[in-house]
Amino acid sequence: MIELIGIKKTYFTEGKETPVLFGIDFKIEEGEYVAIMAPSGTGKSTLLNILGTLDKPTEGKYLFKNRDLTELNDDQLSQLRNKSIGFVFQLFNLLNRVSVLDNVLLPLLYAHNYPKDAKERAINLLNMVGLSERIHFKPNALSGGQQQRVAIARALINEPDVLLADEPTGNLDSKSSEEILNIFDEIHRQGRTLVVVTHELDVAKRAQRVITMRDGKVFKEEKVK
Amino acid sequence: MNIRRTLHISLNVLFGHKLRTLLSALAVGTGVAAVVMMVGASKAAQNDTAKKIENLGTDLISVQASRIKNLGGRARHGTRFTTTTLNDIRSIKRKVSGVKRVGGMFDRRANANYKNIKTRTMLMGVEPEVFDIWRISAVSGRLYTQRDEEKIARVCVLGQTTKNNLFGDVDPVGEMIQVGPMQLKVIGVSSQRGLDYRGNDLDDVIYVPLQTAMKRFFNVTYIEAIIVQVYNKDSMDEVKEEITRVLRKNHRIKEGKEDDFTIQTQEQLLKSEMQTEEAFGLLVAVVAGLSMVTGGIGIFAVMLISLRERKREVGLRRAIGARHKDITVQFMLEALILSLIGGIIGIIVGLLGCCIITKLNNWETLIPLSTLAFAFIISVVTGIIFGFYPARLASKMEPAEALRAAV
Repeated sequence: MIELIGIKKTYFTEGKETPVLFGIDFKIEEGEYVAIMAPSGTGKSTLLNILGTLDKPTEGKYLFKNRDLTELNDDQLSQLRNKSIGFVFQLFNLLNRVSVLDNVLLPLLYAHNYPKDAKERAINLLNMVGLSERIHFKPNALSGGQQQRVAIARALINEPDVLLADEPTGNLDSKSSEEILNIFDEIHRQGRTLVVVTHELDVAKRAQRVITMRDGKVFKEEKVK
Repeated sequence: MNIRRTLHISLNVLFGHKLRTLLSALAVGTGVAAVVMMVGASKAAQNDTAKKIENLGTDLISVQASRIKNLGGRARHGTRFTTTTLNDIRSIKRKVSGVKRVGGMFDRRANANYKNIKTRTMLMGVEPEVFDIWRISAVSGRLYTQRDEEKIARVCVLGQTTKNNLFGDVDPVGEMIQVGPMQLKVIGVSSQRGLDYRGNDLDDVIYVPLQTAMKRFFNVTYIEAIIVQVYNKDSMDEVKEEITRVLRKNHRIKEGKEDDFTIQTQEQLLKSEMQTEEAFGLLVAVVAGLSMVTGGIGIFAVMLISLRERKREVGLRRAIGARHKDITVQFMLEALILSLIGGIIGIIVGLLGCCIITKLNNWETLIPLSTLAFAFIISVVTGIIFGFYPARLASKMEPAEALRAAV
């Protein structure tokens, strides 16, 4: 499903070169649940941005369902993100001024066709994450864990091929974290591909496979279960 | 992208930030209100002037014994001449066809007093026919007649303002007043004429027979103006031409030389006044336009500030699939909604203001649809112009970087 081949990333600022990724190679199969473990400052965010097509590698190939993404233009990448990638962020990134339901529906705004059953779909997803009672709330009236669950529902509204989570429990207490991870398990059981970037071992251990990064390179890969 | 859904989200965002939305809408609203109010009021003023000039009578021609030039958009007397005389009045009566009434005029400012009450007013020497031309009647006593004119009588008719200034509520008929060096007998009070189009009080006046003014007061042989009333408005131009011919002959002006008099019709007067007012109206529109720029800058600033706050939102939207274009459209839409709200507030406030101004001035309230359309269009254009740059900035943000922005 996802294949990174020799991905390098170097930032150029004020004539200075700052290499961040030094050649990353790995594969993620369809339906797999993978954790990418990395301490902060090791190019973890950069790698995630590249995986999410929010940033382009300086060198290397990124194959997504056998399509080389390094050859797509900005509009095509936007389309791809809309259709195929669901994002879950550490800081949730919900729009506080609009309702939970509208937040979940937001990605459909940029979809080719606005599905007729959009609202029904959103309500089903909110049901799955246990928030069907809260659809007309504003996000800032919810707890952190609840907000993250809204974000997960939003990430799934377009039925993406892969769910990319960036430190999804980084801002949550342990109880809420556990709830989120349980939802991830459920999503995985439904057959969706999940990639979770984290620096917490507890979170990483819930995945099938852990890819550990160090100094901009893959340090080791290991199966958990 | 689905416009209806986008609109829904944009409205939610705008109404979520009520104060911010209100402030920037008000910035535009102020501008629009200024446009509507100023343009509306100046239109009403123009209309009022036009009416006042028409009230003077559209069948009148005035012959001024001077060259009147348009200086700085306003008609001004240039060189005055002493060649126009009573003889010219007789010539016009005799030789020009289509003339209903003719009257000569000579006026100067003068001091008048009754006992120890003083007033400064206009001493207006006019022939009795002028009363008919101006549709003046006597509200007390009588007007002077052709006989008084021939006798160079020491009589006068008071305008209502002058009468009030000198006599208050007392009936002045039969009293003697002192005007300059002369004692005049008050024989009547004239009916009210009101204000002229420039706001001068036409009743602050003492009418005396023309020859009384010429011979007893000012010792002149010439007159200042001749007022001509025609039978038929359509023959105005021919009458004008004939008068010109007669006067040029009387004044012995050689061919190719300039007239030493100016013939004006009410229509011309109207035109030249309207030109002045239109020039002023243009100025008003420019000033109002400038206030729209202020409103635009308001939107611009609010959009830029909100952009900084909303960097993460832009990042998120890009992450969930918004293209550059979608972000531009969204921000433009928001700017447009702001300016539309502002436009509507402005039109309402402007109309109210316009009504108040016209009521205070006793003008007829005119609300030209074109002004409203204009105000509406400029508010939309303002939104587009000043929303464009922030929208472009937003769409150009790097999604990865925008997502990392501090809250």
